[in-house]
Amino acid sequence: MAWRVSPNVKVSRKPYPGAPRSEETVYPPGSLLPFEPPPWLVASGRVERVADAPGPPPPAPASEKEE
Amino acid sequence: MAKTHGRQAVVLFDQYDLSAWLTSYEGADDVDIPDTSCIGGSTARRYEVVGLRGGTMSLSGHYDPAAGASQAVLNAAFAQAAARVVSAFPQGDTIGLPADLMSARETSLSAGTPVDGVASISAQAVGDGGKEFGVSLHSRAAAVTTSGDSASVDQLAQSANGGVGHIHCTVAAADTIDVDIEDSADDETFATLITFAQITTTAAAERVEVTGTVEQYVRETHALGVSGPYTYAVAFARR
Repeated sequence: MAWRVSPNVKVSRKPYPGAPRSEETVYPPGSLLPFEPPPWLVASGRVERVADAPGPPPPAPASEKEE
Repeated sequence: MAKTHGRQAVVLFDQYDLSAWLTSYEGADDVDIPDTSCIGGSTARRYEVVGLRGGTMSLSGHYDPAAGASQAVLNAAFAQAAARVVSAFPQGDTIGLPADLMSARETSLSAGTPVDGVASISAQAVGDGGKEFGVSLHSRAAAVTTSGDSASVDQLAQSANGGVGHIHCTVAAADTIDVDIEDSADDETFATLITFAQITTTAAAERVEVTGTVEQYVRETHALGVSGPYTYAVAFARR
């Protein structure tokens, strides 16, 4: 499962504790988060859980042998 | 214990910085404590029910009728139905310092011209509810010319009853600026809590209220269209 930033919300994240603000990464509304959001952010409803992108279609079933 | 001199105060009234004209700001809160005495009792009882909160802000200072100055601003606001966005910073508006926030309507205005003194003006505004006790998240002391965010303020604990944010843009530019208030539980990951309306070429003020959980850390963030410059203050109060 992946997490998407909700509409009208922006998420910013420091790469490590105490990092300068210039090193923050900003995720605009609707973007997918490349990290697991902290529980408080999930609980606030400002990120939404979305299904992973679909993989390749399953192989077509083998055709039955014609008689 | 840090004492404060009154000269450090900042008072913002909508998009106007009245600090340069004011000589005094006084904020007052009150609450109704109804009488709950009953037959059989021997003393008056008032402590069982806490009633409605209210608040006032009293401003006094020098009279100046110029556009954007004390008399012009306070005269325009007098007896208006629309509430004004008022923020007062008793110790100045440096980030983290206390702020009084109020949605207020001006109910009295007076001016005087003493023969041996400076012409004066005073006004009183009555709030929708009491004052909200908050903090400064952005100072109007320096104009903003680059996008970014301000230092976070650690308010020590999460709260559950929402809050209110004020923005006072006193000097606008031929540009755009979008200002948000963000919160965080860990001071590392922040998310939008309040979004103010975009400000363009006209100075403006806005009050936005939110409900629900507010995390421990709060800060202001801004995005410029190009390079501003914009001069503005932001304050936030939890409930």
